[in-house]
Amino acid sequence: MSEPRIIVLMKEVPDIDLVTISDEGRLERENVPSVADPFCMMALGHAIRMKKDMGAHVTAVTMGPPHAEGMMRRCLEYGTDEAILLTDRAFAGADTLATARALGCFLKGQNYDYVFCGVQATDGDTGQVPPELSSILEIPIYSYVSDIDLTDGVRMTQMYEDECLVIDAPPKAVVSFIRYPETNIPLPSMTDFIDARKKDVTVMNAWMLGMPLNMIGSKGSRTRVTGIATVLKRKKEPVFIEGNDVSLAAKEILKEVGI
Amino acid sequence: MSGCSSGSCSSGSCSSGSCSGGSCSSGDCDSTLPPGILAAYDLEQDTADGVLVYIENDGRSIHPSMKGLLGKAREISSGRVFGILFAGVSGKSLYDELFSCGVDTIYHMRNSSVKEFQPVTYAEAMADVCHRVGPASILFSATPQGRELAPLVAAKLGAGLTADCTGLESDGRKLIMTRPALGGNILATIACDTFPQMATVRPGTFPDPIPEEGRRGTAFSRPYKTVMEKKVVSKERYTGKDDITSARILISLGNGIRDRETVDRAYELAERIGAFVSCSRVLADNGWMPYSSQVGQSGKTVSPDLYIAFGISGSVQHMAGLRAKRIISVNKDRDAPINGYADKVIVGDAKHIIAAMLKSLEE
Repeated sequence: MSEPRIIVLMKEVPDIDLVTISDEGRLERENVPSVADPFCMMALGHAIRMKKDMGAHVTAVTMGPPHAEGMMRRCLEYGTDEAILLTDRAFAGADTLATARALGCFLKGQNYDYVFCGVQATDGDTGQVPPELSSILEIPIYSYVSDIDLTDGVRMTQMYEDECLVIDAPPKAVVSFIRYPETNIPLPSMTDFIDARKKDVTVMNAWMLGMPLNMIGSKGSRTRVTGIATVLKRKKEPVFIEGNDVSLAAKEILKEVGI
Repeated sequence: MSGCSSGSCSSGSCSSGSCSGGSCSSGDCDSTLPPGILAAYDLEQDTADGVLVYIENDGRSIHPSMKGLLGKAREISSGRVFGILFAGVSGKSLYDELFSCGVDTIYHMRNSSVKEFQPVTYAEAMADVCHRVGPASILFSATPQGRELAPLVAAKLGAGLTADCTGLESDGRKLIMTRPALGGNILATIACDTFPQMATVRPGTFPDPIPEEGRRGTAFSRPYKTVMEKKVVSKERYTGKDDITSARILISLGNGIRDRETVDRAYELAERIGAFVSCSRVLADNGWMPYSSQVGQSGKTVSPDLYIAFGISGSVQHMAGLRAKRIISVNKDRDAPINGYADKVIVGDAKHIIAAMLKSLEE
């Protein structure tokens, strides 16, 4: 197979590791920076590897607020050929179906062999957009992919709950990646950096994509959040065991185990 | 909307349930819109009733999470409970169990050429059954299979779907779903605008129902056709898999573990005391532990009787996946967030305490 065209879907999320809970049980989200979702970074890593190994053409795409342009710039620095930001107020408030529809409208007009994405994003954890998108585009979905093998066509390893499958994955398809420690994103080289400076992030809105406004954003959504409740976690008063006697501590734990 | 209530709307001429404004009633948007948007079924809204459940199975037994889900489906259904079962002839042996858990009607989908879980094929067949049955709600277990299949069906039906619910209630035919968000600190209540209403449900959320022995129901056997079949080159079942979700005792390792040897020792210890080993995200990210052993929002939800946390700080992320009856925290930091949830806190170094436990077991 020669030079596949890959579109990588990126998402910017709040760095959830830095979100803390106040003593009143409120979430402290102020000043938490946005980062590229780690699952998306897996997808980007595989795409960049395919670019370096077999000359794939890689386009990174995100749907998000205008400030996501920074993340898209970094995608260019990692070596993507193009970076596209879909931004419009009309996209706001979309549930997974409306998101998939908007992305579907964009992809319909693109020439691609694979759509790479993370299996889910760390902010919502729904994992629904990739299959919904594949259904809308009427192409197969390969979920939970941990690795790609290019020696004999394109083969992918899928990790289900209790079995792993190696499958033939001919184009066109949506592929969602899980995080797997063996995959590292090739670090950008100096030339990638310099090349990135010559490129621009393409910004597109709903009008340019010819999207019917009643299908996207909150209007196109079929689910509504009707209520939000903060879960006040029960705070405990634990028994503290201190001191330097590790064998005492060890016995204390083993007692709990029942030994 | 009931513009097109029979069969599938294959062409753009039918304003599917998804475009309420009807802007795509003219043919021109066929060219700019992806085909799957237009090919949505328009389920009859007034008569949709009952609950359809996807029965995950391996041909011999149903998935452990199914019973609890079926029990809940029975409880919330205003009408019948339908089960859709993809299995070979051997699937018949599951009927009695399904009926006893509350299923009224089984759609046993059979195609002898399908050996594996084929998401696109299954989704197509399910959409077909949905059209015939007209359920008010469709439920899946939020397993890897369910989480892949449900969105495919949802997009086909143009239906709203809520992921990974931990609560389901009904108000007549309306489904009220709750799911944790932002690391489990917020519970969002979600409703769908149209029927069918769809949800995947976190495994182990609802208790198994008391089986009603001898309860009968109806089973239909139906063939289905394959669509975009996935070509499987090889298949491997995980052997000796530590399923941390079923563990009674978990030894869990976090950022406080600074060398790989301690990880090995923890496995040794686990074997001695009949526990499984899990971890927080850091250890999965650096490759010392598999992601399948990660507890937390982006990992698994565990509910052991005893959770022994070694060097785990207790981030919002991590705590979202933890429902232990009892927590012991071993941490150098007296003020680590996890200590606020622990029953017992041992202030000390995880490495030394693991070693001391092994030593004490030898004595």
